[in-house]
Amino acid sequence: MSIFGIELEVHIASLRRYARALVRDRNDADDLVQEALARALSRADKFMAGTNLRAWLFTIMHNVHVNQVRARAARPVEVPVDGVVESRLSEPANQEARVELGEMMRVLDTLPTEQRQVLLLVALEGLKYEEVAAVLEVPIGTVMSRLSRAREAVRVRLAGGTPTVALRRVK
Amino acid sequence: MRDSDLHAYVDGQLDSARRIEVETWLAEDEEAARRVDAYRAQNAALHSLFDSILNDRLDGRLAEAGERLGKRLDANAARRPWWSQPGWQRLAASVAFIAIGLGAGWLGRGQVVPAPTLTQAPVQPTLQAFADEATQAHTFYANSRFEVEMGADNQDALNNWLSERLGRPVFGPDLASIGYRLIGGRSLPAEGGAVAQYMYETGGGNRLTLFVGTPQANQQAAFSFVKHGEIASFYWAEGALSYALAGRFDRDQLMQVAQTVHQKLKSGPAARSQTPSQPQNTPEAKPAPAPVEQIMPSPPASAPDQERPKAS
Repeated sequence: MSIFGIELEVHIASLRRYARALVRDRNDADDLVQEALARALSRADKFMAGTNLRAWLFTIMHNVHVNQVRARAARPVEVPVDGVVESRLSEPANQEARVELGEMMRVLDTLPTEQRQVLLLVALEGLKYEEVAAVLEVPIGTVMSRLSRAREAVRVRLAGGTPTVALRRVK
Repeated sequence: MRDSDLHAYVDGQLDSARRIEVETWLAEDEEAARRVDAYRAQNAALHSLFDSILNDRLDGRLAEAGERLGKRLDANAARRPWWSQPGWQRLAASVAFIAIGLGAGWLGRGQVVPAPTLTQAPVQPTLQAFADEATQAHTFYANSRFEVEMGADNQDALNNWLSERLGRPVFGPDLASIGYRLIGGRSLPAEGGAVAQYMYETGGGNRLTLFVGTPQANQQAAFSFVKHGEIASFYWAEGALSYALAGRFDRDQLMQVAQTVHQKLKSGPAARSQTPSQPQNTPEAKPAPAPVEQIMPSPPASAPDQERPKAS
């Protein structure tokens, strides 16, 4: 295996998880990762060995995503929330937990993209705040305020959610 | 106390002094404590929703794209002088970088601990890269659902299988005396051939891996220690084999483990009721380590060019 082999394997798994959480559709997510890897290959000479490979890859994928969103601005593709949650849960959880996850997914969808990105990069991918700032090319103060707004919005909406609606969402 | 401290607390991005301050504050402030609980529940929900993707098999084109990128990055790294190669750079770039030649404490009292620069001789990058791979493989598999390829129910079978993969006899030493239970192993492709990864577990569920491979034949090197984030690693080479221990331990804990592993490797696999099919005295258990001065690699004969690595 190459020197970068195991490291890349781990990072590609992270890129896919983030892409799937961000764009939802499985094929769109893998296309995004695929394009990011192709872009990384074409810019590999610019990567300085020993610097942060993960942050470098996330930065490239973020830029690819920005371009894709711009190109597709006219035709947003939405995937029904129920279908995604159902297919995602590999093991049957108890009903209450499923409702909560379905709600989490629904609330995540209501967040503005820039808040969703920060929340996912921090809470799901475990990036340091400085890394998120570098990936998104925004000041760290912006990262913190987006994170704060995203978490509060999710908290308030989950707390105030109506269970009957939630029960109907997840069959 | 600022809002950002609360988030940094939830995300584990505070130093320990600040963390204690935040905890003191949380004990007093119920509203803040509820927010922390809620944010943690959000994190957990996100992982429940999306972590299964980590174990999805890569489809062909993604795997291929990853492989091509890996090769290109390797090729770029290979064009650089040894001291700017990935292992070194990752090491040097790490804030938590600690490299200590432990030869003195290890092989005899009163010896002078070699300065880190001495351990950075040209034969070392391969071993360093090996230790890096051990750390990455630990990170990847220690918490994976697929932590081992073959369990340790039949240790002889496990050892035989991994010996076959490596093309030379290896075994996972019995560490029960210091509280580690062998749970199994896997073989991984690596630079210079297959490597074996043995996985151990403490009663508390903390995982320890022993990485065994042949990154460079017949080199001898003193024990070295490095810490990447929370993962500490001890690594050394002896005879044809190189070893790296990795886990979430502090240096002293890991050193105790490394000492035990070293002894067990020298004394050979534990005798079991059934005679193991491999020799009791494995080649890698000999010869006894030479004194520190002799096994420390000497400094490079011709120092590498002093130019700095080029920034991108």
